[in-house]
Order: sequence, then C-alpha cells, then structure tokens
Amino acid sequence: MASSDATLVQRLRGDRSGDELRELYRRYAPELFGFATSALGDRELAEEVVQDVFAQLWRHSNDYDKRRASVRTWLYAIARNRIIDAHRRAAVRPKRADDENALEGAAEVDAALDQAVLRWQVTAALARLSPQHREVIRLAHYGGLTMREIADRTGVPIGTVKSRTSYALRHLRLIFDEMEIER
Amino acid sequence: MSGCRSHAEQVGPYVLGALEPDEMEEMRGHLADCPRCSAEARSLAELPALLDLVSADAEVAVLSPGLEDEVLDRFVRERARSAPRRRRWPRLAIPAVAVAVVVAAVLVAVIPGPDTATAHAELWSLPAGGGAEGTADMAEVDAGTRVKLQADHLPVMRGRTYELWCVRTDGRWIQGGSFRARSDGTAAAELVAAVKPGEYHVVVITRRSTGGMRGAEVMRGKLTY
Repeated sequence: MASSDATLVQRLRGDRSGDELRELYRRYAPELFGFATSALGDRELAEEVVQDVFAQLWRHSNDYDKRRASVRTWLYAIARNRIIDAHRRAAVRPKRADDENALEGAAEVDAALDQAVLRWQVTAALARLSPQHREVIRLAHYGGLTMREIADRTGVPIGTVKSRTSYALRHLRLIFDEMEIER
Repeated sequence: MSGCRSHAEQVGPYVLGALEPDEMEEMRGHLADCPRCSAEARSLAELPALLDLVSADAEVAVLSPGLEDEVLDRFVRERARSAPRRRRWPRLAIPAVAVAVVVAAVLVAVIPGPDTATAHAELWSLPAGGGAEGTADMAEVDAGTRVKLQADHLPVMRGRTYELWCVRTDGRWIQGGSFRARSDGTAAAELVAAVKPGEYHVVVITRRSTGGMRGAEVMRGKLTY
C-alpha cells in the first residue's frame, strides 16, 4: 500500500537515499510545475520554482505539522512564496511599457495566483477528457458552433453530438469536483 | 444527477448555449417544470466560466524529465554534507597530540587517508550499455557509502541520465543517486548511497527509472574489498 504524504514527509527527516523525496516529487512536481508555469508564463523560471519547493521541503520537513495543513496545501504555499519572489525579482528589472504581467500590490498578487492555480487545474481537467469529448467542447464552447453545425461539420449524427456534449460536461464536472475546483 | 429521459441530452448543449434558438426556448420552458433537468443544468452552470479561463489550445505543461534527477542529486549532496561528522579521536593532551601529528605525518605517506576507497569495482558493459566501461571506488561516510564513479563509452543516444544501484546481499537494490553522461559518453560523478560498505558486493548502473520501473542495466561490477 502506498504511504500517505504525511508519512513520506515524516520519513524524509531520516531519508538519505532520496526514495521518499522521489515519491513526493512524482506525486506533486507535475501539478506544481503547471501552477508555476501558469503563474509565471516561463518554463525555465517555473522549473526553478519546482526545484526550490522541493529543496524547502527537505530542509524544513521538521516544521511540517499535518494537523495544520495537508502536504499538498503546504507545498502550494511554498510555491506561492517562490513565485512571488520570482515576480519581485522581475519587478526590479526596468518594466517594459507593454508588460501586462507585472503585479503590483499583495492583494493583486494573491488574486493572480489564485487565477493561475485555477487556469492550471482547468487545463489539466480538459486534458483528462477523451479526445471526442474535448473536441465537442472545443467546437461548441470555444468555436461558438451549435450542435447542428458541429454535426454538419463532423458528419456525426446530431443526437450523438448532443449526448456526447452532455457526457463531456458531466465528466468535466466530476473531474472538477475531484480536484475541488469551484469559482 | 442527469436530466429526464426526454431532455437529458439537451442539458449540456443548453448550458453551452449551443442549441438552435427554438430549441433554447423550448429548453427554457422545460427547465421550469423539470426538477431533474434543472438540477442537472445548475450543476453544470459554472463550467462555461471556468472554461473561459483557458484558451482552446491550452496544453498541460510537461516537466523536463531531467529535473527529477537534478532535484534528487541536490538532495543527496546536501544530505551528505549535512551529516554529522563522527568524532574519530578522543580529546588528547597537547603532548600526545604532538606525538600523534608526527606519527601521522609519517603514516600519511604509506597509509591511505579517510577518503581512500574501501572497495573497488571494475564495471563491465551489459547489452544495453553498448561498449561502456568504468570503475567505482567506495569509501565509507556517515551517510553510507560515497561512490566515485568514472565511466567511458556510455550510450547517450536515448538519454544521458543514469542511476547507480548497490545490490545488497539480501537482494535489495539501494539507489545511490543519478548522474549525467557528457555528450562524448564519459561521466565522472560522486554519489552517496544509504548503505554501508560490506552490506553489498555488486554495483549496477542503469538507465534512469521511469514510471516507477527501474531502467535497463547498462553496466555491472563486483566489488573487491
């Protein structure tokens, strides 16, 4: 049976082989990277953030208290701080007139990071749909086509297009529930 | 929850506003009377706003495969550095220390120092290793074993990241960290494995593990203590 996140963090304190860290990395690095990429818009910076998050994790594993937060929440909190640091470093550089991503106050930073988490989660949720379900959502929502127009364009019977769209949204709703996404 | 038998397939398209105008109108009337369909529509109502957060072609960003090794290497290096050093000598009176220094000065020339290997292995290529060859020299450290690895002719076409394993006498494989080969197929690395010399007699180099599966064996060697 797989060890819980909290158990892995606890074992990390005496871990010299890296096995516990590797397991935690495999569980959380992809989504932390997605979050950081969404917030920073830069792959390289996002990878630096992920590295720093895991360095903080092993250096401060003694500080982790499972009664206060889940490991996931804790990792996201570390990532948020690292992303804010990255923004601050970027803010020190002279701003370009067209730099729309520059963040100002703390409230604005918080809101922007919440949006970044949400964007990453929605992207990840869409990626979990089947190609057929993604396609109907793409055509109907992003393409603005009606069911009839989609049926004409794809050659799929209109009844199938309608039921496929309903199933796609239901599945998406379930994925969002699983990821605890809501606005 | 899903809609009623007659209108279930219309709820999703309705929420996306993707029905024809007359169908949208008919559906609005139906929702006012059908608790099942109206509950279904409510549960899906926030999806269009969430979908608006991303573009149609948004893709999940994928981490560089090498990052995991970089993170783990950094961890093992830091752990090895921060391991408490064992006190090897009791406190001695100054004259005794002076004598010891003189004796040590003489012995250094003929006796290996603390970093000297306690075991050595010649590494031989396995089928996945092409013509790779190398050596591994082990020394005991507080965290386990420090391994100095030298390798040549490593295949670099299908990834350059390799892992070192110490195979214990009970058959358990202990990960000793990972390293990258240079573009010319050579590699030099210093890694730390959480196993004491004497507890294992075989060293194996594999390709990087993926999806929880150990990579193919590239080189293997038997230790001489």
